[in-house]
Amino acid sequence: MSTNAKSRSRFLHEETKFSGGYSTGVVKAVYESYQPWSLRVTFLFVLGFLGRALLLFNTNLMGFWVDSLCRNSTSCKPVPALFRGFSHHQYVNVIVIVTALGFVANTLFRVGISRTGTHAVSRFYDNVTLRVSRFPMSFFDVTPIGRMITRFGSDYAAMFRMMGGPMGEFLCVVFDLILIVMLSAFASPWFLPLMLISLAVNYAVYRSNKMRMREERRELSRSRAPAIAHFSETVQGARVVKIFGRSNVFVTRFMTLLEGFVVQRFRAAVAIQWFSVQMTASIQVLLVFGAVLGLILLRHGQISVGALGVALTFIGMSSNTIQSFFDWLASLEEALTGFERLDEYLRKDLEPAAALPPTAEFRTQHRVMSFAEWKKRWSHPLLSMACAEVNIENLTLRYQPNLPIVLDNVSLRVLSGEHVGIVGATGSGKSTLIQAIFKLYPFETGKISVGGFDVSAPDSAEQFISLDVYRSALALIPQDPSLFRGTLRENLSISDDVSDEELVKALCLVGLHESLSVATEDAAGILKMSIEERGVNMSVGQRQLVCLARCLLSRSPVVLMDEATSAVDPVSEAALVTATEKLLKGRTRIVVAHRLATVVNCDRVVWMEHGKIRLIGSPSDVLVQFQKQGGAK
Amino acid sequence: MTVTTSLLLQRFTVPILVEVRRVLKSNLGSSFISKLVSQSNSQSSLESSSQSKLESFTRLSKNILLDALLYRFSVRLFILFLAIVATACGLLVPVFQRGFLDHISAEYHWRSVWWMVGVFFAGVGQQMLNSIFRLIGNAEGLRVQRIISQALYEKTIHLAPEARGKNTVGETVNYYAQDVPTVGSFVEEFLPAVFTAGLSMLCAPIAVALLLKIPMHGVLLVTATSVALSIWFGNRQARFFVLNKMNAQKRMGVVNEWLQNMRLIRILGWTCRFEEKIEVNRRVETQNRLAMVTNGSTMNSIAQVTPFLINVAGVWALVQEKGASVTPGDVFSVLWVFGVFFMRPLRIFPFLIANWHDARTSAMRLQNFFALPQEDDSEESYEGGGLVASEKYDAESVSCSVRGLNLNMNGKHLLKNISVEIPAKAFVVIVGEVGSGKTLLLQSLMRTVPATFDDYVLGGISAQTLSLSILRAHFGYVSQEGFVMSATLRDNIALTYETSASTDEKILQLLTTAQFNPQSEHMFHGVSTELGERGVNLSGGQRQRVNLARCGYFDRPVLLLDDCLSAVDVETERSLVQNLFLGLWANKTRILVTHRLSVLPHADLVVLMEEGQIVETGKFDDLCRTSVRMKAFVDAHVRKDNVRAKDG
Repeated sequence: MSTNAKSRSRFLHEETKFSGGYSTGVVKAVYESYQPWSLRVTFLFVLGFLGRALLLFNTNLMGFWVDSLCRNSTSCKPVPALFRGFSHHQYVNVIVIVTALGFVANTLFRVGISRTGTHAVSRFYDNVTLRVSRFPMSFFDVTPIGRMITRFGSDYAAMFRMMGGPMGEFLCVVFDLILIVMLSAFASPWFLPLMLISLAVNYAVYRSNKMRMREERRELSRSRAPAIAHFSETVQGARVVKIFGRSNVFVTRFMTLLEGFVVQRFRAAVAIQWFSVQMTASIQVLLVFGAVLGLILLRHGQISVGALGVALTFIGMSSNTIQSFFDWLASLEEALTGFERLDEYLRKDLEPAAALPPTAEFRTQHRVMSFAEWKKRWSHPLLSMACAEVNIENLTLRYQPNLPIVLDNVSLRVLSGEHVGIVGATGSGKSTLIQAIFKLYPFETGKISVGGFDVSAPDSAEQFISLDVYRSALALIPQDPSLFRGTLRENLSISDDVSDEELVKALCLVGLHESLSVATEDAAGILKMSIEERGVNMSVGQRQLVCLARCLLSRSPVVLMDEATSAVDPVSEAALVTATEKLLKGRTRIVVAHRLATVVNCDRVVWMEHGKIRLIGSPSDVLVQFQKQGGAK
Repeated sequence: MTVTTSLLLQRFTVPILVEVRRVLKSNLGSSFISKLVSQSNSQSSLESSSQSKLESFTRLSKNILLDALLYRFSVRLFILFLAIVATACGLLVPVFQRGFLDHISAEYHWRSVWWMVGVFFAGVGQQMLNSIFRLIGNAEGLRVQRIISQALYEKTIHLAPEARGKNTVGETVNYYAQDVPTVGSFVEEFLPAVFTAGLSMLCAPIAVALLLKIPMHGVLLVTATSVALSIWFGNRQARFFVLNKMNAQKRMGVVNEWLQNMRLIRILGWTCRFEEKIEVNRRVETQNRLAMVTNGSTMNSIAQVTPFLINVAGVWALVQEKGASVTPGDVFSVLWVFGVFFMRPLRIFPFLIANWHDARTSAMRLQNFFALPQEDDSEESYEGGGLVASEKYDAESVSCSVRGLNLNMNGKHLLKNISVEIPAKAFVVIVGEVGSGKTLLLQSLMRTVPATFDDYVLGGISAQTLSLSILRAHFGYVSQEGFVMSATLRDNIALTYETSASTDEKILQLLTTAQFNPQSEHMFHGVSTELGERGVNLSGGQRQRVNLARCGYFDRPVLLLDDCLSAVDVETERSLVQNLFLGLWANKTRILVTHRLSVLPHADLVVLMEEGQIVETGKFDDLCRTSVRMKAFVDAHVRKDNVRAKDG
């Protein structure tokens, strides 16, 4: 049990853990996100600063007004020449005008900066998507889906939120701080050192709390995922849980996971509140010091009451401002965590031979296709071939560097138009071979080419083919066919150029309309049929027929089938077998079979064992040998 | 007087300071937190009062939001009390500050410092009280969140058959991941915010009137305008917010599909299409987001400039009222009062409105979900899994007899008047085309679909008199897809978490019988191997065998096996039939749905289904001789299948 718990906790803590400062990559990422709008941002900064200055100058104007009230008192300073002789009306007018101007500038600044931020984050997001699309398959094998969802979901939402309104707010606070120091110095330079000390003290308080708050926040976002993942799992398996009477076990489990999140949430709140208390206390101490200092200065006739009032107001105001500055800073850091995590995805290595589309931005180490290359990739000669040779040479493969070899020096040449069956016990590497042909995993040694084309050939070479074109030249009827949410049409073809007639024809050819009990003349209607998540509203057999129809439409020269006839009911199976025999004839076919009947009609049969090819030959030869061994077992 | 006030303040604030310090220090050991949040909660969740609370939040509640706000009303009142005290402390600050400024020019120059000490304690006191009631509010919000989460989770498990499938997995998960936190944080933030903001705004005019005795028309006018604008912008903001949530959900739907099907997408070469699909959704989201930040920024800007205008109005009123006798202290205390009482409330006001809208929509969504019908099986007396059940049933195996089974769902008559007699310990195989109702028949027996029976007898007892949990305790079940959870292999077999290693031997034995050898399936940590989320690392065949082993672990008298051979190879199939179906499970009543003809000769009873009806039942050999339908069905099969199985 303890090892169990340990392994789980290790599992959960594999999430990128940050300690200490942010990498320079984050700053770079933020900078690059905003880059197209750098001029606009500069202008907005100036505007924003001006706006805040106008608003805050209000306080100084008030100070002059106050000074003008007590002209006969000794503790009042004469007001500047500009305002001398101002009536109350005039004071009010000036203040209202200054406020209005400040408001306009401030609004423009905020709207501008939040819109720019929104654009910048969106741009960043798009570019991360382009990269994750091309990550090595092994990444998806070891990364829990919930973790990836968190990055595109709540991490992105946090960035979106922060770079929208709050960014403007944060900058306003920064401008305020600078201005408060400047303006209080303007009221009386004597308070300048006090303001600076105040900033320094607050920074010290912030520093001493920073690590803990940061840690708590990160722990918080980590503790959120397990309960969500568990919830989603339960929704899908509720029936099994109920039959076996394990509801309470699952509720307890959920509550334990939830507990972890709730406690962490509260810990984070405590850390933040404790920080607030410390900040307020230190500001208040400074306020008392300020008052004492003010008294001394006043006694020596160095400052006026108006100036002292202004200074105290500013110090008091700085209490709020500094606190919200650090509050926002903390939220900003949270958003930066999002940036950092997505930035990690932005800069991760892609699968071998993958290249980004020309729309990709951001300077990363990845290869980006040129527009010309991108445009002409679909006119690759392989795609217009009726069938193509598949050549596997000395292929050795393992799923992860630390895992054992699954395919061991496999060489196989499947000729153009040949129909090859693969048999072997579970775990012999047959399904892996299919994945290898699709280049879903990097090879340790060896190479595979289709029709003489290879993705690992140099870009300029004639044999070169880009990865996505290579893959679309291969069609697969998988073991566990999964469909996408949407209409049947969307599941059949990627392009809108394919006419409904063609699609219906394919559906009728594979016999799906029969399986769905739809008359042939109404078949067009089923194109609009809506498919649920993973295609759960269709049987496995029907889903396989959809895959077959898709495969017919794609006209790919090579077709791979993984246990194609295993889960289909007789009618669908009959349809599938007839269809594959008739319709796919002429294409190169590689079939992984669990039922020997399937491969009886193949040109050649390959018998795999322990990741190696044990025997290749005519179906009769190989099957007799294979059955003999199977019988002995 | 000054000294006594500060002393009084000191007497109250210092002990609190010490207490808070102690508490905050100790919380690093998390004892305080667990005391406040977890312990009391986990205790109370066992108490009946909390159970009834759970009920009232969910099943009985017409208004979750209101219930959540009124939940533990005394604590809410305590928060209110703390908020009042905190506001009072805040009020003292300008009083003291004014005192300071007014006394500067007087003789007792140095004593005016005491006023500033008063300011200090009042300020710190206010912040501390603020922090304390915020934390309490936080704990309260989490408490509510916890209760609703639990209720939601239980609801998803106990959802009535007819309500299943009304929501997609993603939607249901979103209820938990988004809507519950929204309601929780509303409780958490709304109360303190309303108390501080509302109280401040109510107290301000009184304070001004008491302290300064000036007319308030101008100030009130500015405030009213600002509040009205806030409400207008806030309402707009709320609409953007709802849209934003919907857009994000839509985008995440695609992202989810993209991430989960990455392998398939690559195999199809559809990468670009999915990227486009995500981008289209992202664009829609960004567009709305732009409108939202524009609205929000304007709203904020107005909220921020209002205090300045209020200041001007206030000072103007002061000058009008007092004329030449205005003191600088008067002016600055006006500024202070407005600063304290208007600045923050006016700033947070628009957010409050937006939050409220947001929480309301979330609460509505949750209510709709909670309103779905639920299965009535509160007593899960067979929680012990197979053990209790086997003790009871092993001696007398269970027969199963059904008469007049009908199933209507979504206006379709899916199972029509089905009657079947299944003797105890029989091996029954159900065959038929896709969509003929085989799976639904199994589901009907477990009553996980809303089927009706004229008569349903299980082991001599009328099944209609049995509670759902007792009824289900008769069955072992393997679903078509196979359920695998993110836990160790061991946990997956025992279907529980943190299973003790003491059962390893039993589990390994079961796995072996189910033809699943952890070592040769690349599970290098044996039964301790983590299977990962949804068993993504397992193939279809592996999932099916894990599910079969689990079924064995529970040792129930009647086994319902739904197409559990579809993804295993012929060799494995043969071993499973021999060692498991006809071997270890020979003493059980077994009902298998399959497309594999090779199993049929072993069956005691073969059931052929067509379009929701049973069209043939009998021994396979007899049926092959007598039934035209069976012949047609087998012929379609045999032509392709090898006939090897018949000999075996």
